[in-house]
Amino acid sequence: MNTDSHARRRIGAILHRWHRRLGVAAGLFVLWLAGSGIALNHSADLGLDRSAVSAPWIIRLYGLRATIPDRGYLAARHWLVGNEVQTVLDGRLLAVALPGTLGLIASGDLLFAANASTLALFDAQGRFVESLHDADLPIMAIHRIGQGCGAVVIADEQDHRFFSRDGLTWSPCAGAIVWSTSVALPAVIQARAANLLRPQLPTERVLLDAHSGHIFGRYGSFVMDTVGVLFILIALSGLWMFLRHHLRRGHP
Amino acid sequence: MLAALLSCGGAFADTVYQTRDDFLREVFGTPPPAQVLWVDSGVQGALKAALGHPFAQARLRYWRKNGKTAWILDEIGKEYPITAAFVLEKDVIDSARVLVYRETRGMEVRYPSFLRQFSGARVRDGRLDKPIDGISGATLSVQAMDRMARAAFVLDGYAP
Repeated sequence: MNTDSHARRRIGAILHRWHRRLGVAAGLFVLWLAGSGIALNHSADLGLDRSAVSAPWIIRLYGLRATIPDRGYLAARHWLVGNEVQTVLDGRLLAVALPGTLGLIASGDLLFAANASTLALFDAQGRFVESLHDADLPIMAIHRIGQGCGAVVIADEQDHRFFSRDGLTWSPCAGAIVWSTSVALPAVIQARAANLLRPQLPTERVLLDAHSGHIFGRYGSFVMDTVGVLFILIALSGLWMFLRHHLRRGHP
Repeated sequence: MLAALLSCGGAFADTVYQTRDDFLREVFGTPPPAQVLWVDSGVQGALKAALGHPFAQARLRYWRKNGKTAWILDEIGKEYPITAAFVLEKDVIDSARVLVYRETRGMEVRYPSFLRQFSGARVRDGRLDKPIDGISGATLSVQAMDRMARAAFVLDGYAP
């Protein structure tokens, strides 16, 4: 009986000691998970869904790398540079990306930038005017963009050519056309574009991945799984000690 | 971890519920030619008040026939723009539609039961005079629809 009581006390002491150790070890994780969880639940209020993270070491964790083009489009001293994700006009990142840009044309007071599905219009200061898509255009898909018939000209793969001065009305063009082609970027333009074309991730996404451990890949998830198991052990050992204490007091 | 479990990692994709041409045919029968409103500083100021941010483009198309005007607008709910259409007649919303939805959550705003709430609404002191019931899980999309409805009134007021 004395031996049993001694053994029980010893087990209780060991459990209590490990319960405290696990609690200390889990403390930092609890603070992190609770803090980041609260922030995620209020991400819209905190603006985390609208802000972006571009720190190189975080971007590297995602295996992302900026594609810096060495060619771009020049029209009336305006430079258009882009990659598959973002587009820069005159050193300003555009809200409308034009992956697979086909060209840039300056005509009248407007700049026309095209890819296969979109003709984006900008004013002379580079401010966004309007995006035109197939419903606004006389052709289904743009194959080339150029200058002719005194205006901007777009053509489809079958070489049906239409011109417009304002992007509102289009007419067939039979005259000579100078098609927009890419040119090698001067170093200064490329450097400025490179700075803007760095990959970015929404802050909310990064925080969510840090919260779940996914940001550190497979091992990050394992670590967070281990923390989860740690929490379970703390809960079980705490519960066991609580019940043991109360059962002993109820049955002296 | 709870947030990670509850969050869904759906992929971004455009869901087109109605094309612009189909919408215009539904409203007007034979659609009228598009008209253009230039967003000058006056319009921009009024739109900023309605949207809570500057309007992104300098020119906008609209369609008007038989006293009805159709406005097609883009507004970000959470991450991606929702393309919605509003038909105004005599300073009242006649109908509203979601044409393209791009967010991963909140597409319930496309349902007629939600959109019918806009019909008959006017703007009083910069707000819709009819309460628009929210949808659980679609709060930001509902708010975006509300902002676009108010912006449509602003644009209608400036359209020649």
